[in-house]
Amino acid sequence: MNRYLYRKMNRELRRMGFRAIAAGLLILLAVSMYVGMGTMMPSAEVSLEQRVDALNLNDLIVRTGFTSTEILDDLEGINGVEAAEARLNLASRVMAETEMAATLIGLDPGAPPDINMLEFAQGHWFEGPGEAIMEKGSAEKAGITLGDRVTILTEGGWSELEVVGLVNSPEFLFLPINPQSINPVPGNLAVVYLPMTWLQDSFNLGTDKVNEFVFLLVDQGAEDGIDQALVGETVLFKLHQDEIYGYALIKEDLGQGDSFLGVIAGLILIVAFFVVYSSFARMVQEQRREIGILRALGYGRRSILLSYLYLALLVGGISSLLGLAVGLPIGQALSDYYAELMFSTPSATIVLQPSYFITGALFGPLTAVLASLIAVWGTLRMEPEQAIKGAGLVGKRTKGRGRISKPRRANYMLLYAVRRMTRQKGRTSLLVLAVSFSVVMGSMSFLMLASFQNSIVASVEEGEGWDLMTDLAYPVNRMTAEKLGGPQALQVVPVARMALDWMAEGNGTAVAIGLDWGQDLHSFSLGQGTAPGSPGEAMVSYSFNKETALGVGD
Amino acid sequence: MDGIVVLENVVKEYRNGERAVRAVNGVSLSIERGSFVVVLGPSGSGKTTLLNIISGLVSPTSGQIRVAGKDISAMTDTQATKFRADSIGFVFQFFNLFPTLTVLENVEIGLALRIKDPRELRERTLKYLHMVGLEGMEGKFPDQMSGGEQQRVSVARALASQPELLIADEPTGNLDAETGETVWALLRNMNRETGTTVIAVTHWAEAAEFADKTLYLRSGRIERISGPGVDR
Repeated sequence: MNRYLYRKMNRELRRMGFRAIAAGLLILLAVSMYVGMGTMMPSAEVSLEQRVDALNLNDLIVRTGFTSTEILDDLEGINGVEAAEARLNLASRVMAETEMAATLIGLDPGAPPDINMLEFAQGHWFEGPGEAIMEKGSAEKAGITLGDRVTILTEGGWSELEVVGLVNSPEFLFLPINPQSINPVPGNLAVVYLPMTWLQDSFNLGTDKVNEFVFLLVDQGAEDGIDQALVGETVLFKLHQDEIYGYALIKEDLGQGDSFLGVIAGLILIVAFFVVYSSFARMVQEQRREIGILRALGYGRRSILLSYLYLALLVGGISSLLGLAVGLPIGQALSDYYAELMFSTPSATIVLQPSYFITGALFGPLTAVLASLIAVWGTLRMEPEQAIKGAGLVGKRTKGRGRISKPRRANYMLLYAVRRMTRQKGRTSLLVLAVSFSVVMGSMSFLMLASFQNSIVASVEEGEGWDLMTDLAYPVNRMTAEKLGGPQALQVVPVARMALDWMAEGNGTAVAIGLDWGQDLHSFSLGQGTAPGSPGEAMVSYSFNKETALGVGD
Repeated sequence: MDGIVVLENVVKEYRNGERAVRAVNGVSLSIERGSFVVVLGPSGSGKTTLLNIISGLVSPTSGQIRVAGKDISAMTDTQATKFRADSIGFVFQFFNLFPTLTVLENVEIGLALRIKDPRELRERTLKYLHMVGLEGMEGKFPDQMSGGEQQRVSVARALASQPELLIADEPTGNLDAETGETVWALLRNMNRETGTTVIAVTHWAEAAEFADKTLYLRSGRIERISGPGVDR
């Protein structure tokens, strides 16, 4: 390409003006959205990992029956255990603006914990008696601020404490769940940190009783040693880091979000491809006469093709690079928003995956080059004389003869538009395809989400009559359970629930639920067989059954 | 036959639906080097097609064409492109200047294919712009000029590469009568000054006054040839 073609193409770009800018902007927008969406979840995930690492999120929690703290020395000495701490974890209720379920965590008041470190948003560590520290998110939900008084239900009745600290904890990244429960308690759990001694006194447990051990492990093999050390204890359940509900939920959310955004980002690129392709092809086709003149002057196909590819690379390349540059802050902003929402911290870093970078960087140039290549090549294959005449600019004549209709009033503008569309079959097809694709994909997404939501709502309304489920870490009798219901509870159904080992073809941990059959708050639909009516009979949940291949009569 | 342009039984067929239309129907002719030839005929008589065949812009369906001693009917596309760059200059009805290039650049863009030395390129361009009377207008863009001036640029562009043959397709078809006559005179003068053979197609019968030879076409055939010493 000589300098005159180079100069010509640069000025052509200016002459195209608005349309070149529009095509470039579209590429920029598509690439920036693509990169932004592709960056959001990986960045948030890295931030999450950095945050839980910095705050020493436990690798393992073991809940036992009430046991002596002396066992902690044995646990700390196990090979592969980096650190271990003992604590109390009790379920109760607190009264603030409203009464709500609470997890009470008893910690050694001598120093803040090293595992599941508490990040103080406001306030300070325990300095004296009658103090409580609250998890910040739960305090906000309960309308509790620093310095407020909070009333806690203990074995001896309600006790009032002052909130001296509001903290973030890696253990409760995403709060509206009860960490003791396999089922979530929707949005009303308070997490209250208390001095261990106060909690032991209030629940008449004795001064050295604990029921939970948290671990940082160097390697997962240490778990066998922990099992052995606790062999004489009642182990209620073990929870690994990736099973911590909030953490696992966010990780799952990140994974699903990444896939979902990947699909959306891909769709944006596909739709943008159609539009940019059409726009570029149109721009080049309008230069058909000039291509013909260049051919008449003696310019070869190669140099003409190169000059248009240069133009496409210039517009596509610059737009794509700008899209990348704009996409990164968009990704950072989205990631910040997500990280702040889910785990109360701005995104620490920005992660641009190579596949997104490469696709984003190549999208503009490739789309523009492809469109130009096809359009220019189509012109270059013509005889120069045809190109000079601008053949094809007005569209090919359709086969056969136009029908002469009876004299009548006609909308000639509409007629012209329809004929033009039918003659420009390729372009019209592309446009129709792009619009249909967008509409179908958009409608499918909405329908999918709507039907998913409807099915959840329908199944809950049909099968579940309860509004609130509260797990208690300690056994209570029916009288106490009914008292826990509070004045606004219409009905309280006591349920026995325990974590057990099960054994069939394989083995594992199961939840055993004991219910009165007459209760109507938690109904079942029987898939096969009959409801248990006598001792020695059990009913297995359908989803559990699917995994274990248990059948009726097994 | 001996001449700069020699056509032997040239046919060009176009397909119009299922029907084949012969735009040029068995034309044979010879044009002498340095002559000024005008092709006249009604619309659809095949004038422009004949011109496009001679210049290598269109391939004939059959027949042989020799231009400047080269058989262009047997040329590949690449050879034809190079041949046009080396031997043919074009003047079009609608000027066909590049709107984004200045007058100077419009001339140089064609010439640059033959002359690589920038100084020589510039000198040659200025010389021909001076010859067509456009000195001082080198920096203007086509849309800042009148139709007549644009056609002069087109003539300068066509002649600056010193082609053996200048092809002009309705060079005054888009100009008023007075300007048109000036352009015809310019073409004739350039033909005389540079010795370039000129073949021009037109509807304007008076153009024959400028010609050494006039071809009358009808239905793709040469109906009559007239000129000093020729009338058949």
